[in-house]
Amino acid sequence: MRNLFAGTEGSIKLFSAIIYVAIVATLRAWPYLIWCLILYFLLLLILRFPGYKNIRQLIPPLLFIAAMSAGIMLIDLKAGKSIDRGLVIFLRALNAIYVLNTVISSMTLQELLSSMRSLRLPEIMVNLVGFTLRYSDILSREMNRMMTARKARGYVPHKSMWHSSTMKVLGQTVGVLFIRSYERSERVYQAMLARGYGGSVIPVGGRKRLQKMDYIVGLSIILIPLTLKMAELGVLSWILP
Amino acid sequence: MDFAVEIEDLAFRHKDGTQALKGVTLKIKKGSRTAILGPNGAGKSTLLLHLNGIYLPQHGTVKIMGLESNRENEKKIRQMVGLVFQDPDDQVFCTTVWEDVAFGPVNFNLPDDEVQRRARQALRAVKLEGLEQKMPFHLSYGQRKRVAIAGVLALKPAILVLDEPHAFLDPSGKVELIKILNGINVEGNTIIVATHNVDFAYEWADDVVIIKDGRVLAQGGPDILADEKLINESELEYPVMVKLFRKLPEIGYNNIPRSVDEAAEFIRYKMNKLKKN
Repeated sequence: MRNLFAGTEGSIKLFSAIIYVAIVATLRAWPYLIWCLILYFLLLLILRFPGYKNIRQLIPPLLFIAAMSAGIMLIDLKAGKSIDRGLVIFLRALNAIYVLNTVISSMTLQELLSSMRSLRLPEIMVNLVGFTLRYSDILSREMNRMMTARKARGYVPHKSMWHSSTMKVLGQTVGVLFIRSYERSERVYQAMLARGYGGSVIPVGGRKRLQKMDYIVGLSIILIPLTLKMAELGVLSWILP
Repeated sequence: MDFAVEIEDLAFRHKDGTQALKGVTLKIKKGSRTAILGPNGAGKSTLLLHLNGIYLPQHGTVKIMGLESNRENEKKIRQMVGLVFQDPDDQVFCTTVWEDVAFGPVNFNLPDDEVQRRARQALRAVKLEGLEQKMPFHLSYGQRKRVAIAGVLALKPAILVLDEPHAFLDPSGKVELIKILNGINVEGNTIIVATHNVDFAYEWADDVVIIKDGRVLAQGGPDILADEKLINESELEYPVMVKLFRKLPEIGYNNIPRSVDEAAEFIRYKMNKLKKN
């Protein structure tokens, strides 16, 4: 079965996700935030996108946010207030991270960059994202090669973070990686100049023609938090009988 | 005689103070296959970066197809000279093979259909059709090298310059590379290769340039690689064919064969002659 979410035009998905995050950031009640997540997850299921697959990727940023939210909850508890404030912050972040993660993971890198460009995001930002993602692979390979070479000479890292020799080796490795990255960046720049690079990466080929389905998916993403925001404001009670 | 490259007394000092070139003078014929040989640190890579206009002469002159390399002409020169870097990871940086091959033509503002045509032709030349949408970093080293060559071929340069093209390639990759280079040369393009590989230079090149310490030690046909004094001075080694035939002076030869095929033919001829006697 065709994955309708992945097939939706990238810039529409990205734009809708940004609007989604912006509206979610204004929601004040945690039940609405939970409903937002549930409805978005259901939308993904309808669009045949496995929204549960990349959940593990959310753990590192969520741990950071959870720590912050827990701190706020503790302060509020101590002050005799409810824990709602911390919970709302956590759920807003969870919504934002989950929506952006699913949207980005449904696109190729090329699609993501061209979507960012078509949304008129600053060229330098698009290029920075592009180069970072492209070269993270090379840097990790470089790092792995260095680690293998160290192991081949009998090096075994100590498990403790406070082991001075391990920390020294780690520091040296990161330092060398930094120098190698700098040297590589010089060579990459020269290679780009050699092929006529003049300061901006010009995208190849035209943009995909937008279909009715692209607009429907984009609108559905935006409608979830928008409806809930209206419900929170009580607008629905004016409209609905 | 028409020259693709004319260099006169070229000197270049890097920012760190290293004097990489100290008065290089050489000429490379149009349509020739030239190998630039020299030990590590001889100045080969710095010289190649001058051919493409990445480095502009600090002293002396560089002329590409009669056009002097300077700030005004650097873009035209970059279109005339395609430079393939030693490590494809330095050169191949786009997210798909297609995007990377099209990178050069797009930068030179060619119309979209021309970009498509050139990218297709270049991929066909390096036998990478069908891998257009692959991420280059997930390809093998040899395939990435071919993507790098295709990215330069798409510019349709009159001169193709390659820095250590054999580095880290497996034997079949090397054979494939030679076929690609020969195919490009047959179309009348000039090919310049900087290499340590004396066997490749001896067999493949029409013209050999030996540089050391930023100066040209010698330029001539591949037979200069059989010159004992020059080989010792340049810290290179004899090609295998030369090593072998130097140990067999009793065979009697005027010119040392340049390839295994030539050597086999020569030995067969000598054996037949012996049988007749």
